[in-house]
Amino acid sequence: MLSVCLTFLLLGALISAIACRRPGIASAVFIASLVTGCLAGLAAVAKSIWAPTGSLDTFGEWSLPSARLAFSLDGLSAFFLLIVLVVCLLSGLYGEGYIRRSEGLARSKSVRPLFLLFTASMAAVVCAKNAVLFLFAWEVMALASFFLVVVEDEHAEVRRAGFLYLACTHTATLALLLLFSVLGHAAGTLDFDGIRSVMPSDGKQSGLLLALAFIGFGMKAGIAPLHVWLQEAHPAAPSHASAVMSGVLLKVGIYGFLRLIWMLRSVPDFWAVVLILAGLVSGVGGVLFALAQHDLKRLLAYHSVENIGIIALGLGLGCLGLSRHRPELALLGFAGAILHTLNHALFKSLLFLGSGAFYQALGTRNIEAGGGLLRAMPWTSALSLVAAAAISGIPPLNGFISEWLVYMASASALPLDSGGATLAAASIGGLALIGGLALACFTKAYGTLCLGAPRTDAARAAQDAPAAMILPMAALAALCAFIGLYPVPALSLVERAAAVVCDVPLDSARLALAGSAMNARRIGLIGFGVIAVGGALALVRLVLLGGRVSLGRTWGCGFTAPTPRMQYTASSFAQPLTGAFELVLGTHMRHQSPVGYWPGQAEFSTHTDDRVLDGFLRPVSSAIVSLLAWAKRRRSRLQHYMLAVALFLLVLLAWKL
Amino acid sequence: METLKFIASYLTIVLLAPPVMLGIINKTKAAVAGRKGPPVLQPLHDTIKLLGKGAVYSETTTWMFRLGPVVSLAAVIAAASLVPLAGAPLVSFNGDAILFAYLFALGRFVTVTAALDTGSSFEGMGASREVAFSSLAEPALILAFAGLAYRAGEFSLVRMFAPHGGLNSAASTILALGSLFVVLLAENSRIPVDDPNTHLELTMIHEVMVLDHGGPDLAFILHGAGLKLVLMAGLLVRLILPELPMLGSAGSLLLGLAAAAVLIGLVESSMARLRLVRVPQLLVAAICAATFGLILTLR
Repeated sequence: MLSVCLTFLLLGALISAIACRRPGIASAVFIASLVTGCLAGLAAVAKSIWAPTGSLDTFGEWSLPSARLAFSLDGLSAFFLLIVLVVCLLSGLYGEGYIRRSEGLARSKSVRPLFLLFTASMAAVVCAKNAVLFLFAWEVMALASFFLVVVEDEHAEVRRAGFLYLACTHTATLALLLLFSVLGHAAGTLDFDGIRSVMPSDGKQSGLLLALAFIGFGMKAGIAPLHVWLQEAHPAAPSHASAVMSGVLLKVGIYGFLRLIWMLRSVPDFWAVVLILAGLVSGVGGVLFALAQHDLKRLLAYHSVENIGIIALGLGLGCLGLSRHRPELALLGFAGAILHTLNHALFKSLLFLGSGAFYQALGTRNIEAGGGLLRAMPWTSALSLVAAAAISGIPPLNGFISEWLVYMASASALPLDSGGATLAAASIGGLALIGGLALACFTKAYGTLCLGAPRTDAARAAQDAPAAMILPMAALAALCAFIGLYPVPALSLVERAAAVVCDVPLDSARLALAGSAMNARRIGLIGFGVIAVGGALALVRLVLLGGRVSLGRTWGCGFTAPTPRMQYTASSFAQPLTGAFELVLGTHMRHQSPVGYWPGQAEFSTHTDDRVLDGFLRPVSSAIVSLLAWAKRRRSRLQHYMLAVALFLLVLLAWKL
Repeated sequence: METLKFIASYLTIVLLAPPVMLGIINKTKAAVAGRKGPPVLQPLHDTIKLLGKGAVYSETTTWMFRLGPVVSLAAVIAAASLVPLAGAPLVSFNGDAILFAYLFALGRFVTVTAALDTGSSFEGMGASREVAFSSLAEPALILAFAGLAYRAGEFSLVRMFAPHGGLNSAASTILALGSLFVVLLAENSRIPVDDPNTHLELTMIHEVMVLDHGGPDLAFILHGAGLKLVLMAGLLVRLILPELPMLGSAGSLLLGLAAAAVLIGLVESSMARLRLVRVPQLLVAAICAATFGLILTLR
């Protein structure tokens, strides 16, 4: 079934590329191949759950040395394939509606084939069981996503973001190439099963492997400080592509980490330390930088960094369990990370899809240009509310369940020795801080955009998106609510994946996680309780009011002529927190204060640069460029170049001697 | 029969304890100031009066504004089912303490979005302060919980706040208690973080967020806020006060709640509200206390 899935997606990409001059045909081919391909893939996932075979599907020979077209669907691959297919299917269907309403995209010939190719490559990456195949699919995925980012390349900032992304993704690929060379050299084979069976469990070379994996997979996943491409590339890509990039592409990096842990079977202690520290930095840093943003998609991109931080905390706790031989802790940590991967894929893609609808209505991504959209765009706003609450970790939605699992993993790591307990306590405190700040950030973004009175003419005239865009979003919102209220099916899939990572039989994984699964179900029941009590209270309220309702103005403390411009802005809303964390954020403020009794002009604007990209990488690279330019000016004669080459050779010679 | 009696006493506490506790706080403040003060049951009368009134809604608002009071009260009631009010809680499991904290976050989320729905600058200001301060109160609350949970061996409220004979484990309990008391004052908008009595919109936090609510909506909000105070105070009481044999568990809890109300009244009479820029410092101090408590427990 997996071969059917990949074939349909790739064929669809080919035909829609050939038919690119006839948008009608291309669109029909796109929808047909996406739906059939994804359904076939989902059937493969279902088959691997009901009738697990565990054997490799080899699609024939490949003439590359030590390469095989080997795919298989174990619990881990099946889980990530599910994420890839569900999010890509819904985002792709939304994308059809989105492309039609967007002038720049409707002219583009490449967006449909690229999307299909991107989907197929991600599906191949998570199922590949051979390093060459993995890297091949990985590179196709990287290039397809690069071309998706630069689809609207008539804008200079899109091109800039594209090149940054290209540089980052190739750095990642380079690291992975080295990683698999080291593994392949040690094992003598490039098949994953082969590497796994040969790999000594004494953790030799694990420092080098961790460094390479951290660069390779961490760059793709967006773990701070390697997140630099996220906040530039997500705003540049078309919204349905950013939904897939944020929802799925980052998760492929997480999959890489999990697959590597599976291959190595045991990890040393310092992996846990590195992952938990990186998780804390990403989590707290991501949400703080998100608080300081005005661009909706940039804000969402920083939130991806935050959520990847939460996932990394879960991964770190899982590694802690593996290294201390505490299988329950390992299972709980990995289960939290894996479930949060799914949850984040659902609510973050929903948020990006919503941001696309808002962008088309407002013509800008600046949230300060919105206001009152809950009236003008009721469906998009209501569905985005579900996602905003879910990402803030609010019960009874799915985000809470996975954050709760990570909390429980941290709590069960507290009784370890002092090192483990310190990590666990840091992760508990970090999660609580992240939760509070995420709530602040999403009430800010949602309140400014959707609530209150419209701040601009565009917001006043906004129209809701068509059903083709609303329905996929509604499906994602329904999944968020379903996992929050009834987490049992999702958890049973998570148990399979975690059992594969920890290398324990499924039954014992089930047994170890049974208590947590039961309690998660209780959380769902309390969620139903909240809904039931809320419904009863709403009824009581209706009866008590009995229609005695009148309309008036918002209370303005006696001021009777308020205008929408007097509303609290997003920057003001976030100021208490951005002010408190000014040392971290380094926000630039530009203001011209009103002067005199009859002030004329006054203005105020803030901008928060990325600490790593704008604060470190850009200055360093521009220093290198200017150094080289200086060298070039000074040594522009051929003799000087030859002298330099000769000196270099001499140095090499001296070093070798 | 036992079950019925249990549920009846639970409901009584959920319905009656909040207004009475607020009444005792007001009575204490009046007594310290040398006034007679309103009767203890005044908050109950206020709530009943509000329930009988109609409502005025701003033209700017949507269903979000009407949803806020209903969901926030529902969330606090759900949190009440996790707290051992009448001897035992309705629901208890390993990890319910996290759910308890996050149910308050649900209430906060809908209250803040309802406030922003009015489009009023004042309510935006209150909402902004609320989310800023609570994002610092949350780590203090959960870290204090973590210390207690580690000692109890389970992350459930009923085990963590078991009446195990008072302050026997000394310093860590005192630190957890101190940080939880600060969180209680901050989360329930009491002095020194917020002043429930002020009428200056610019200085308030919680009250300013609900400026536009009236009628049954306001009654729901007031009751929810009171219940939140009862729940958090009830947990602290269970930690300090051993069960008194002649009163039973519910009785000793009520006595403890009355004592907590007097204590809060005394705090409010003896100090002024902090300047807003000082509030984060207080909350960070609470985080530090909770962390030290956790370290001492783990040692």
